[in-house]
Parts: sequence; structure tokens; C-alpha cells
Amino acid sequence: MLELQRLLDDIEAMSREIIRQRRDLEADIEEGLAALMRLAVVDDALLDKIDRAAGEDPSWRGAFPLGTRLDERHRPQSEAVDATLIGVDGSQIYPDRHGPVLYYLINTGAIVLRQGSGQAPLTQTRPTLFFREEAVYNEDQEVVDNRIVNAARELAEIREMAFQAVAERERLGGDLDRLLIVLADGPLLIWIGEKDSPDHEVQRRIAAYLAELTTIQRVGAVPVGYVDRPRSANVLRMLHVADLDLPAIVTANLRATRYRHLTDRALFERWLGPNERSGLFSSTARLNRVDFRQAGQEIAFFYLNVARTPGVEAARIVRVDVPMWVAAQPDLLDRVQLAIYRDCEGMDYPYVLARAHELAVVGSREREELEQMLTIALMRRGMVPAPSAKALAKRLL
Amino acid sequence: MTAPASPLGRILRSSTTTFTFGSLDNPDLPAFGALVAAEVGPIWVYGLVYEVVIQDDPFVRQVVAAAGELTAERVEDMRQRRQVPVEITALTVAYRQGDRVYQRLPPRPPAALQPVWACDEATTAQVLTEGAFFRTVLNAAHCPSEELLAAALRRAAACRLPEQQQAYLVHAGRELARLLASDLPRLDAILRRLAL
Repeated sequence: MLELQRLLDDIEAMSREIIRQRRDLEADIEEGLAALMRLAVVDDALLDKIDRAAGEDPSWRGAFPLGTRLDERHRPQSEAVDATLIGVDGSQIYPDRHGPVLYYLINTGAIVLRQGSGQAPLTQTRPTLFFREEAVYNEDQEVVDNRIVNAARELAEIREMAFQAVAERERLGGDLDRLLIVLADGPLLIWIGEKDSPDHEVQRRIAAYLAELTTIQRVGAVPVGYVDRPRSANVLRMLHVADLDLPAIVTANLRATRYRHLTDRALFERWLGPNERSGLFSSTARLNRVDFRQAGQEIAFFYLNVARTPGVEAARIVRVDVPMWVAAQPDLLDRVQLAIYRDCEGMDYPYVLARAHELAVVGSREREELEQMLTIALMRRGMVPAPSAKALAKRLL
Repeated sequence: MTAPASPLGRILRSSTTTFTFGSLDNPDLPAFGALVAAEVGPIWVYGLVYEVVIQDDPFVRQVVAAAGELTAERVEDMRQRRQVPVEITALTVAYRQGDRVYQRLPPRPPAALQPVWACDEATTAQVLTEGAFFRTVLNAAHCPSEELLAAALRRAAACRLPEQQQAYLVHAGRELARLLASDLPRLDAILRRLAL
């Protein structure tokens, strides 16, 4: 029970603090914008500084510019042509040691929308139940934690992306002229937890992920990671480094960035107009610079304003991840940008991703029904599973 | 009954007097007053469609709000692919056991997920031949009974040979006059809606 009247003073203090932070942020954003223009030229000195920062502190994440200017903004001049958009998303039921049975579930949803066809899109869901001992317990015989499930979901999503890309290209009879874009809801660069599993397991996961990216490339489809409301600050961290002298690039200074509370999104809300993209960058993460690069799948990104109307308030900045082999083809990049922008019409978010999410999501009611089915199946075999006393008590509240 | 290649939908819920089935939004949805059928073991249960409800949800409302930019693909996606079925409810009026049709309530309603089929012309003509189902429709307080009865009779007449249609309607009109002798406004409302 929450006694709201006990929080009245704190609520007042909190609102004052938020307003103060907001004022400070505005000043920081102006400073960041000024730096973007002042340090706009990409030269060897800048690139050396970025490399020094990445070498000095392996956990430092900065943006490595791929163009000649940092303040680049680009709106494709060509008209959008019809493309096929494949949206894929995944959801999960995490293992619950208080539940009636121990399992976890991953469900992927996919939609194939052919722009200009007038046809209903194709849709598909793929649920997978993980229940075997080796799946639900780790090497220490503990129930696997959520990070393992998230990693499995990430892999299931890229597999679905590759599967759908191959299937759609086959349906097109191998016609490579039709632009095929496969969108994931989130970054294309996978997240690697340092302690979530042994190294060989992480390597196996990276290899499996990269194999799927390669399959997508093989069928001439463009994988895209679409990050709505990105919270990354790689460009701002790079701007901070750009302002440091080379000898001053040491871990302590890297962490003392003046843009600590800012995101790149806040910066580009003031810089990009509707359907304008920023310059191209790549992440300095070791995973990207070593594993992904060696596999020919290094990830580049740009920021894009998907809003229809100009102005800071209306701006909807998203981060778009694509492999470097896509980023290296400006015409292809323009077509991808136009197709995504077109699919965002009416929602400021890709329709195919909204639908993929809807297809993938497992609601609490569906979860209850699944657990009822599992319970009945066990009862038929003479076992009566029951949730823990704690879970039962919570249901009463 | 000769079943068409694919069912109209499947039963969502049912009772002795009505059954509701879910279907995707498509041009082949049964019309108001159409006869539909579902199998219950050895019998077929027949019902007259009287309510079609197209559901909405926040996603549909968001898409509609962006109506100026609606593409054909999005419209077809909403209609054909999303798990928001059109709910169709039929009033049970008859059942068939073997070769015989009984215009009365069936022993059991159709079970959940049972397929529901559209009835062909021959079946419609045969099931709605007698007038015993008139009272079932007239007594159904939860549906627009005058409209439904008139629509069903027009459809049943249209399922007959042209030279038999007038006679069928006249016969139906006489039966209605007998049933509604004490409720002339209601009789009048139905007869006015009977014109083919």
C-alpha cells in the first residue's frame, strides 16, 4: 500500500529537480550542437583520438565517423520505390521458479509486407518451449537467468529474419531487383554480457548470429536494426574526445564527459529535419571491430528523423543500424531510408514492426492458458503440479 | 447438406437458442438473414444470421486515425490477418437428423471451434419450407425479429424457382396473419418488408 500523502514533499522537490535538470540539459545540448559544427571536419587527428580512446578504455563506446563531416545531414532526392518490408520481433516468458512447472518460452512474430501490391501481408508466429534440464538449468544447477533467455530470443529473431528473407526471395523467383528489407526492433549489434555464460558459449552465439546475417546478405536482403527512442550517446562521447588533446585521452578523462546526461537523440532532434539522416558512424565496440568485421558484417549506424512535420517538439529521432556493406552503397541506403520512412507514415514508427510486436507478444492471459494446458497434460500422467505458496499468496492480493 | 470448400468460421460460443462464430472480415461474410449450419454429432443445427459485429482495438483506432495515409496493404492486413475476428451470431431455428428437418430447437448446441458453413440454395429452401420457425424468430427478444423474419423469407423465396416464389411468400403471409392476428402493426411491419 502506498501512502501518497507521505510523498507530497518529495513530489514537489522532484518536480523542481526535473525542471532544473531540463534547463541544464538545454545548455548542454546547445554546447553539443556547437561542438558538432565546430569539429565537423573528420580528419586523421580525430580518428587517431577515437582509436586512442577505444584502446585506452575497452568499455568506452564512441562513434567512429565513416564520412568526411560530422555535421552531415542528408535527405534522399529520389522518390520512394515499392519495397518488401519484413518485420520481425520476439517475446518471451521467463522461467519462474515459483510457477507450477519450470520452463521458458520464446515466440517470434514476422510480417511480410509488399509495398504497392494491395495484398494482405503474410504473417507468421513461431513459439518454442524450452523445458529440458540442460535448457532451464545452468552449469551450476541454478535456474537460468533472464539474460540467457534474452540471448536465446535475440538468436531466434535473427534466425526468423533470415528464414523470412530466404523464403520471400524464393517467392520472388530469385528476382533480385525488388528491394527486400528485414527489420528488427532493436540494435543489429548483439549484446554480449561479460559474465552470463562461458566464453565458448558466447563465441558460439556470435558465430550463429553472424551466420544468419550472412544468409540475409546472400539473398540480397538488407538487415536493419531499428532503435526507437535511442538512449545511446556514442556521437556525444566522440565529440568529447574530439575536444581533448591526444595525451589527455586517458580513462579518467573519457569518463568525465561533459555530455554525461545527454543522448545523441537530444542532439539530432535539433539538427535533423523530417526524413533527414545524419552522417554514418560505426560503433567502436570490440565485438563490432573484430568479430563482426571479420565476418564482413561490421555494423554502421545513422540517426534518422521519421517525423512528418519540422521542429524540435515534433522530431522523432531513431537510430538505424545496417551492415557496412549496405552503408557503402549510398543509393541503396537512400532506398532503404525512403522505404522505412514510408512505412512510418501515420505512426512515426514502422508499421511492420508494430505488427511484428503484436504477433510476437505473449500476454498474461495466454501465459495462464499455456500453464493450464501444461498442468492438464501432467495431471493426465498422474502428477499434480502446483505453484509455490508465495505465488499462490500473491494471486490472492 | 453439401458443404462448401471452406467454412465461414468457427464457433466461439453457443447456447440452445443462438450460436456465435468468429470469422475474418471478407466479402463472403453471410448476409443478414442467411441460413448457416454447424454439425453437432449426428445432427446439423441451422441458424439465421442476425448480428454481425466487427471488433475494434487500439491498434485499429490508431490506423484509422491515420486514415489519410492508409495503404491497401494495411487495410487488407487489418481485415484478413489480425486476430480480431468478425463475430457473427445466428438464431437457431431448426436441425436436421438423417433426412428429416425439424423446425424446433436442437437437443444440443454446437461445440466451441466447430466449423460453421453457409447453406446452399437447396438446403435453405428445404429447411425453411415450413412455417414453424416463424414463432421462434418472433419470440426472440434479443434480435430484430421482424427484420430477420422478413429477410429470411425473402432469401428462402429467392432460393426457389421463379414460378414458386410468389406462392411461397403468399403462404408465408397467411401463416403470419394467423400468428399475428392480434398484433396487426407487427404483421404490417413484416409484410411491408417482404417485397422481393
